[in-house]
Amino acid sequence: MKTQIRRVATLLSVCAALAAAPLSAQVSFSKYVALGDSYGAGFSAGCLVQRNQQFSYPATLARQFGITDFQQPTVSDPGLPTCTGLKTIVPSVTFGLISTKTGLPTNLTLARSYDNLSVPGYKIADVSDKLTDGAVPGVTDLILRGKGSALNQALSLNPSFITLGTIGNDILSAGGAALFLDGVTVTPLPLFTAKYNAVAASLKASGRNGVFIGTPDARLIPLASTIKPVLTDATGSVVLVGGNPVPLLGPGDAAFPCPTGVSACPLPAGTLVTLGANAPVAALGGKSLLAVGFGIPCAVAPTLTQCGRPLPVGTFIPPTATTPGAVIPGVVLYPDVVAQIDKRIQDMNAVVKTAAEANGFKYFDFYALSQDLIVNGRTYGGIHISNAFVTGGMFAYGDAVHMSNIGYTILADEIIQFINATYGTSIERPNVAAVLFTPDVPAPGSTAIGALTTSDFFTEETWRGLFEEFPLQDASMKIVFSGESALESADRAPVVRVKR
Amino acid sequence: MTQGARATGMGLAFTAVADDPSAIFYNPAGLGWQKHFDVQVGGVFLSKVKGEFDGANPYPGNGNHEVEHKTTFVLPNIYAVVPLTPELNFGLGINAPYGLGFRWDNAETFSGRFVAQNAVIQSADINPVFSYQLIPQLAIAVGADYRLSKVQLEKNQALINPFTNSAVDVAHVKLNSDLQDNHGWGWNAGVLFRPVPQFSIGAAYRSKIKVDYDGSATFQQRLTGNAQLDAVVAAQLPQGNQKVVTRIEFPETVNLGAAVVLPADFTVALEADWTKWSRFNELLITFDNPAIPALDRHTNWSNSWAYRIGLEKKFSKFAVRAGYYRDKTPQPAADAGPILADNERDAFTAGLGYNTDRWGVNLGDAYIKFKNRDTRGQVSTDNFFGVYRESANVFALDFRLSF
Repeated sequence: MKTQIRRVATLLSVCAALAAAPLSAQVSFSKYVALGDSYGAGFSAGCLVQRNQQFSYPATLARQFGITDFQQPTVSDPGLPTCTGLKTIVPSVTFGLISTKTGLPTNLTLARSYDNLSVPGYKIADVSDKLTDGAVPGVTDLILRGKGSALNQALSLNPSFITLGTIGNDILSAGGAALFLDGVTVTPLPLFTAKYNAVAASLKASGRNGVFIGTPDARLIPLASTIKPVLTDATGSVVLVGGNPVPLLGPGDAAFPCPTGVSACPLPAGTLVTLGANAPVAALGGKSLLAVGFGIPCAVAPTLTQCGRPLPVGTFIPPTATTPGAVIPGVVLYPDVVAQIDKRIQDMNAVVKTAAEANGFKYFDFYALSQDLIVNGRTYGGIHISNAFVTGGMFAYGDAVHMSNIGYTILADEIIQFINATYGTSIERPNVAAVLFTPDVPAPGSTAIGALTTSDFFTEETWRGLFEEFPLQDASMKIVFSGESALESADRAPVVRVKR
Repeated sequence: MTQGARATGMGLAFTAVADDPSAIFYNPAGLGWQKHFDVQVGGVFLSKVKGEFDGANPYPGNGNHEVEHKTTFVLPNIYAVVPLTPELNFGLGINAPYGLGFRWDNAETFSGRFVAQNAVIQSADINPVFSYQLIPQLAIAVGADYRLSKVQLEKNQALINPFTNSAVDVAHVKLNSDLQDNHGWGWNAGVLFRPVPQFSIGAAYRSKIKVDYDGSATFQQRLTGNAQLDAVVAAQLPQGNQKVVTRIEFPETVNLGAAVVLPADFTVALEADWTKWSRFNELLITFDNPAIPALDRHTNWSNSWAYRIGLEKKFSKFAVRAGYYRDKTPQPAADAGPILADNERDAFTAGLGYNTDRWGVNLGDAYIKFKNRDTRGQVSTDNFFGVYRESANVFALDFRLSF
C-alpha cells in the first residue's frame, strides 16, 4: 500500500513539475516573422530607408532574439519616397526633402520572402487580401514582390514566433480628416472583427507563439497633440488675456453646438486641433489656416483677414447623380469625436485581444503604453524623450505620426519586456543608449538638403501624405486640395474625393 | 559615523564602552566616568578603494565601463571634556558626521553625466553636552547639536538635437551651497549603566536635523556644433547665478550596546544601531526662477540597522583592537544611480593604541566592502542599469591629552 502511495505521489509530482515547467521552454524564437504596417516597417521621416528600417521594432526584436538572418526590404538613402529633413529651427521650423533623388531597394533579389512583411498603409484586411499596388508600383509591390499576400508569405516561412501589428490604418485617418465615419474614414467594426479573426486563425499553429499589438491612444501622435485648442504664441506658450487663456474658435458640432446664429464659438476643453491647422495651404496663399486667422477671435487679432471664422471640422458630402462624394478634411476634433475615436480604438483592441487569446498568442496593450508615454515619456540616464513634435525625440519630423529610431527602439524595448513577462523568457532588452547617441543622418553624398525646396512646420504635402499612410476606406479615393476642385471653399481644408 | 580611532578599531561598537572623549559622539553618558579635563584631537581619512560600474542594456548599454574618482575626504574632529562637579561633566565635540561624495572620472563622457557627475554632501557639527552621574553605576547625558552643511551637485543637461534625432550635451549645471550659510539644530542624549566595572550597557539617541539649503546654480553652455541649435539653447539658458533651494532631513539614530571586560583585560562590545532613513524619501531642488524646472527625485529610503562587534585586548598601556560590522543599506535598488549607489556593506576593522593617564595615541582602520549593487532587470529611477562595485577605507588617528 505504501509503495502504491509512493508511486501515486511520484506521478503527481512529475505531473506538477511538468505543469510548472517554465513557459519559456515552450517558446522558440528561431524563426521570427513580422506582419504589420508602417510602424512595423520602420517608416520614419516620410520614407522607408535602411538607416531607419534597421531600428524598426521587428528588426530590434530579431536582433535581441539572436537572429542574424532577419531580412527586410531595405532601401538606400535618400529613401523611398525621398525622406524629409529638418532644415531650420530658427527663425521658424522648416522642413524639406533631403534630395531630388529617391533611394533604391537594396534587398530586392532575395529569393525567399522577407521576414519583415510590414507594409506601410496596411489595414488588417490588406494583410490577407492585398497582392499589389496595381498599375502604379508602390511599397506593397516593393515588399510583397508578387509572391502572394503578406499573410501567405508569412505562413510560407513557417515562423515559430510572429508579431502582428496593424496598429492604426483602420482608424487613424479619422484623425487626419477630423471626421469619424464608418466606411469612409474608419473600418466598420464588424468588418475589422471578421478580418482580424480570420488572420489570427490562419496564423495559429502548433508550437507557434507571438504577440498581437493593439492600437495606441491617438493623442500619442504629435499630429493630434501638438496644437493646443487655445491661442498660443510662436514659442507654443499659452497667451493669456485678462489672466485667462483664449480658446480657439470652431463651428460647433451636435454635442457642442454654437449658440443659434453664431457661426464660430470657443472650442471646449478636450478638443483636439490637428497640425493641419498649421499647414500652409496653396489656396490661402501658402499660409496656414491659423496664420490667416481661422479660429482666432478678432478681439485678439483684428488684423488677420479671416479672424473670427471657425477652424473647420471634417465633413462628408455624399455623392449625387452628377458629383462624386467627397470628404472634406477638417482640423478640429470635438471632444465627442475624440471620444468616438477613443471608443473605437478600445473596441478594436478588444477584438485584437480576444483574437490573440483565442489562437494562442499574447496581446500587447499599446493603448496603455501610449497613455504612459503621453504622460511620462521615457527618461534614460537623465535624457528625457517625449512625444513633442520635433523636439521630443520619440517621433520623426515629417508627418508627425511615425516614430524616430529612438521611438521605435522604445517600443521594441516595451514589447521585449512584455514577452519576458508573459512567456517567462529572458530576452535581453535593446541598447537604447546606442540609438540615443547615433545621429540619424543620411548617408554622406546622398543628399543636398540645403539647396532644396523647403516648407513650414507641417506641410500640405505632409497632409496629403497622411492619406496615403492612413488611406480612406475606398481605395480609389484621392486627396484634392483647394484649387483642384469645384467643391473647394475658401475656408475649407483639402478635399478628398470619394469615387463612386 | 567614524569619529574616533579607538571606536574605528573596534568596529564602531562603542556605545557601551564610551570611555574616551569621543563618547560625546557615541554616547555622552560615558563622560560620567571621565573625571579629568581631557582633550582629544583627530582626523578621519575616508577614501574610495574601488568604485567601478559596468553598464547594461537598455542604458547605458552593455560594454559600458565607468570609474569613480578616488576622492579622499579628511574629516577632522575635536573633543573636550570638562568636569564641573564630581557628578556633572561638560563636553564639547566638533566633528563631521557626514562627508560623502560620488564623483565620476571622465565627467564629460561619463554615461550617467545627465544624472550626476559629482554629488557631495559635507557637514560639521558643534555638539555641546552635559552628563550627570546619578549613582556610581548610572549616568545620563543630554546635548545640543548644531549642524553646518553644504551640498554640491554637478551634471550635464541633454537635449535631443532635432536635426539628427540624437542626444547631445547642451549645458553643464552646477548647484552649490556654502557651508557657513546652511545650518540646522538637533539634540542628543545617552544613558550608560555600569553595574560592575566589567559590564556595561548603553543607549544613545540623536534627533533628526533639518537643514534648509540656500545656494546658487550656474548653467554653462556646451556647444553642439550646430549653430542653430546652439543659438536656441543660448537664448533659453538661464544666465548668471540662479538661486536654488533644497532641504535635507538628517535622520535620527538610536544606538544600543553592551560591553563586557573579560579576564586579562579583554573587552568584547556588541552593538545594534538603527537609523530612520525613511526621512530621506525625496530630494527636491527648486529654483527661484520659475522657468527652470525643479529636480524632484523620489528616493524612498527605508529605515536601516547596523550590527557591530568590537574587541580590545590591553597589554598594560598598549591595546590591540579588531572589529566587524554589517551595515544594511537604506537605499532601494530603484534609487541606486550615478548620484549615489549604496548597498549592504561588511567592514573589517583593526586598531592600535597607546594610552597613559596623561596622554594617548590611537589609530584605527576599517576596510569596507560593499556588496555589488546590481540594477540589471530591476526598476531604476534613472533607467540606468548595471553593476556597481565599491569598496572604501577609513583610517582614523587621534591624540588625547588629560590634565
